[in-house]
Amino acid sequence: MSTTPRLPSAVAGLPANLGTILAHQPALAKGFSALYAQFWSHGVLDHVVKETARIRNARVTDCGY
Amino acid sequence: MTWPGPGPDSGAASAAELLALRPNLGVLAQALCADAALAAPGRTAAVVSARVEQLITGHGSLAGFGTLTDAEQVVVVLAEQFLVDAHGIDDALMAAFGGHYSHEEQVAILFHLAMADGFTKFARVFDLPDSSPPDSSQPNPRQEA
Repeated sequence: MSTTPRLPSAVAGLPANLGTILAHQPALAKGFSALYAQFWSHGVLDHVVKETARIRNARVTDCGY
Repeated sequence: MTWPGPGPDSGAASAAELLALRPNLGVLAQALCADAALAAPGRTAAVVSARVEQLITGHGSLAGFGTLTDAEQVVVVLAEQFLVDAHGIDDALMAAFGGHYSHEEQVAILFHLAMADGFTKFARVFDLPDSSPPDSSQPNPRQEA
């Protein structure tokens, strides 16, 4: 993977990251944020399970988040 | 790598049970799928979805789309590499992609690809039947011609 973001940030003054790249499509960014908040803040799973899955996914996919 | 599987007391739930417990998430996910389909160019989004489905399930074909444009062919290559190993998407491929699509379109296509990949796998794991989000107003480009 490139170590330099391949798209510029869509938010002036902020670096390119998932949020500022998604901002090229504001409606998608808004919908994704709502979905992500719903997943992390509500539901039947405790945070240990969520974090375990997130960390394992990040390790396998080499995700920095 | 093979996941050893859930333990006997894992309390694994079916998709129907999960969605019954978390109806808001299901609605949001369906709405987001519909948004992604609308945000990406219609025919390109359909090509992405068809290719993802074909690669993951071994079924389906791109033959119904006729001759793919140069831009669509880049999207197919990108989709294939995205599914096989996203680390293999190199600067040359992204330069070719960027030669056909604006920043806004690139984000929309990659978002659609991520959704198609993720939720196709979701459906396969739960062995769900093929269907579009029930509240999607997106016409099927494959049925328009």
